[in-house]
Amino acid sequence: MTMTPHQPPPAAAPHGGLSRLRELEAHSIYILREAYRHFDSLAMLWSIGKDSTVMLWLARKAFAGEVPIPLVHVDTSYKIPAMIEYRDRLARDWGLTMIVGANQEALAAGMHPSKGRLNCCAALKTEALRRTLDGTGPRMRMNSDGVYVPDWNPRPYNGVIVGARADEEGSRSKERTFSPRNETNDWDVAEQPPEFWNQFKTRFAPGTHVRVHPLLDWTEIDLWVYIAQEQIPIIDLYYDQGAGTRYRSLGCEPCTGFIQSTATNSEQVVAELRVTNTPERAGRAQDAEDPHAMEKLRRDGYM
Amino acid sequence: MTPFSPAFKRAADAASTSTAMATSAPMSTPVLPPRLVDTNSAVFQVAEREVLQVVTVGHVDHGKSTLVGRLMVDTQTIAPAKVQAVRELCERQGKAFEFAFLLDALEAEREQGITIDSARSFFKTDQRDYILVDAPGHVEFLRNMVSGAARTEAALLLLDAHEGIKENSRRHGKLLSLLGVKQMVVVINKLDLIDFDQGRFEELVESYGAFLKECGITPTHWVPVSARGGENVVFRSEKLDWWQGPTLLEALESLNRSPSLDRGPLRMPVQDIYKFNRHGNDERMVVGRIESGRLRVGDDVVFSPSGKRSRIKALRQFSAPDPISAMAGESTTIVLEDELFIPRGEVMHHPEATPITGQLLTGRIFWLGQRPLRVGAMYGLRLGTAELECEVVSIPSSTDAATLTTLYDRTSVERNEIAEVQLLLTHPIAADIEGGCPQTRRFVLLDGYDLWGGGQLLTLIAVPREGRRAVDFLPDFQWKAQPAGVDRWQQLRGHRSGLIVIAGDRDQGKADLAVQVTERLVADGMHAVLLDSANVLAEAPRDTSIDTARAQLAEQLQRTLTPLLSAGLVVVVTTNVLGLADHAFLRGSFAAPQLTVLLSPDRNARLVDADMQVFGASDRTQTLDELSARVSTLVR
Repeated sequence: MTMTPHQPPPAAAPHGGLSRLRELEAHSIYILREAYRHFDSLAMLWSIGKDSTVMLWLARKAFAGEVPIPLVHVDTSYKIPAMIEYRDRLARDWGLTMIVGANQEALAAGMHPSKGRLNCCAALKTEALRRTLDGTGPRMRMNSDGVYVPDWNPRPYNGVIVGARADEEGSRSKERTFSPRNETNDWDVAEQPPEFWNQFKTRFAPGTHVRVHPLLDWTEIDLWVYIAQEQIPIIDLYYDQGAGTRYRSLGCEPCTGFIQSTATNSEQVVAELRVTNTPERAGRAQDAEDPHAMEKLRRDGYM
Repeated sequence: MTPFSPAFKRAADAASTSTAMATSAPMSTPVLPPRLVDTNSAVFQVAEREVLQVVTVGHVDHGKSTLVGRLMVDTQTIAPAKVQAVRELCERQGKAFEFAFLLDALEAEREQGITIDSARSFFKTDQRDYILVDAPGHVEFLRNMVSGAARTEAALLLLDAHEGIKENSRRHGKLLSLLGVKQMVVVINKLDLIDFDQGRFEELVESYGAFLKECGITPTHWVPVSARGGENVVFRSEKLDWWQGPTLLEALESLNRSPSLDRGPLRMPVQDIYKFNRHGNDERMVVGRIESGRLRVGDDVVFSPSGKRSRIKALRQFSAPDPISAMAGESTTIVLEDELFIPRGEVMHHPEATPITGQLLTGRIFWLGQRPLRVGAMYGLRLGTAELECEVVSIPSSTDAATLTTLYDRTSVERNEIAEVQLLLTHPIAADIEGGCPQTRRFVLLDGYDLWGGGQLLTLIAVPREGRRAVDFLPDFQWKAQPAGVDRWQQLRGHRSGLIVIAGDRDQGKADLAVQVTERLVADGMHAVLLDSANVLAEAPRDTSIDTARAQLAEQLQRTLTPLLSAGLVVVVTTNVLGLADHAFLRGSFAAPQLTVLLSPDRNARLVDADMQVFGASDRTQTLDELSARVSTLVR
């Protein structure tokens, strides 16, 4: 993966002013800066997928090339190996503060999708994430030599930046940009405070934590157009490596299928998405188990 | 490169001998039918499509979901095969086909790559993509309407031709006007129920048009439709042969995106100041989003309300060459020629186009709070990036959004009322009035932790001080200035005078902190003195009640401070009884540099205009070090 200097396309749109993508970009940067300003213990979730990698790219834009926010990755141990390799390479190349958590007890007890995909997600993602964020679970931190050592800081994160998009599936379109969760990580869909005119909920009662969603207004295709325009070095599992298949959505190896596609770069992915009618997460096996799986998982803290 | 080191041992490796793990082979069967794309086709281009966000409002049962479903079907956003499948299902179950079934089916199956839910739906035409933001009730309406990032550029207001104007129809019209939605399409639905009668349609246009006019709205289009039968939604119909105007889709396609604000005066509320000392980058950067206008490297800029001036040295952009200009909408990173201390909330602008500044604000607001907004109570206020507290001074009028009944001189604003309010802010802010930049004119109100109200600024003025003083009765009086001026004192003492205010609630340990700060400043070699409010109160004129003494504390402090500051001293003052107006008065009374320190138990307390916050639990040595450094920068 090489970084080439790249000049983004002209910002102007036909109506004058910024184009839609530049507006989305500016808005996401604004949100990231608001989060950085208002939370004393802030983290950004990085799933290694395209959404959170674009978010990471936007953070680098927001903070002049720095990423002053720790990146948290929950390792289920079933991730595609290339994802872990890519994560650590970028962490070193971009000088990221990399925090990794896992539900080691469940793994030791042999948790696997064969014990029920949703059970597996609940243990290795939801529970692992909860305990990584609140500091009760083990956290590993990449040190300056690129080696993971136990994290010296067990402090809970009270602000968590998440790359969720409103168009992903039903439950996500009810999200707010700054969405508070109470102590047990619950998400009260009905009683969310309103968000007026880009003023967000940045005050919160002690014990609450807030999920921040800078990508809420982006669509899948927006992301890919942006990846193409900015030449973001997204993980190459999203592209055909010669076998005529690629991943459209990344997750754990046993539960993520690939699609038939010969797209080998972001431009070709955009072209493909423009003509498809198949939803993005169709390759994610856990969704198929229960039609309301995602809303249920999200209520319990899944991202 | 450092060798790859896994954070956690991979379970798959660890379990290679375990039978439980033996089945973790990747799912290699393709989940999806093959769909190969010819990348040489005309579709292959990375271009952006225009998106128009439209809010759909209307009384419950006036046919919103049918209309949305109809738009999606007739624009072929939903595949015809899918529609047919649901039709057949309805027939088998002996039900009449309803669009609601279609939407339910889509949601349940999450097919078609389209998200359907109560909040947003999407449809597309050749010209652009549409996002319809739904708003079932008026509270949800307000929330959805003003929530989120994308600008809602138009409203689609739905009326039932058969039922006519309902309470919500009136409320929505009023609220749309308040929210400043410029383009509105009024859709009169269910024309089938009135036999596509032209007369009835025109009656509705006339009566609802008159109401909207009262609210200051002129709809862009009036469109008669029957969403159920699809008449005049996407396709014309013989049943409406008298109709010469556009179909609903034509009306939507004729709407414009709001003109960009880049031709307006420069307004950039300061969001934060960054200085990252990592990776050799030690530049001080001012960041924020340009809400209107443009800026270029080399421009002279002013920050209001502080009035600090500088020049744009550079704009920084990660991953691309530094730009030389930026325009409305962009989140920028700016390096100034001077290292100024600029707090968040200041507005950056060009010298020739200044915003107004002041501390007493009148505005028109809507209130969604569960608790009423009350005169005398404190609320959080945010305007641009300024975050402060305010006290409700008066409520000249309030209007019920549904009945439009107006009542005057109120003591509270109830939920879902629109009101004119007068607010006293903890410190001056910069803002715009009507005709200026919308984002620096709008403000929101917080009760506790949540945003429950929003509004538009009408006026903003400095705080007037009531009552007459002795000086008003001495016509020939002239103030005698100190023979030694600021410069002379600075020469003698090695620093200028300065006012350090330690503020905060009772029992936070302000007096102790003030003593320690003064001791530290003296130890630093400064001519620093302590002025404790309790001392000043104790020395109030004879026969003054303690209440009067408290009420006059600001004046007494001012009297005592005047000679001290004009003697070039650094004075450390404590206050806990000062109200906001008093605080503002004191701040405005002296030209000497000032630093207000708020001592508070938690981060969320922002009761006074503080330059610096100290938490009860903070390390005291560290606090004193920081204060000493801040004071030194201030007066040396």
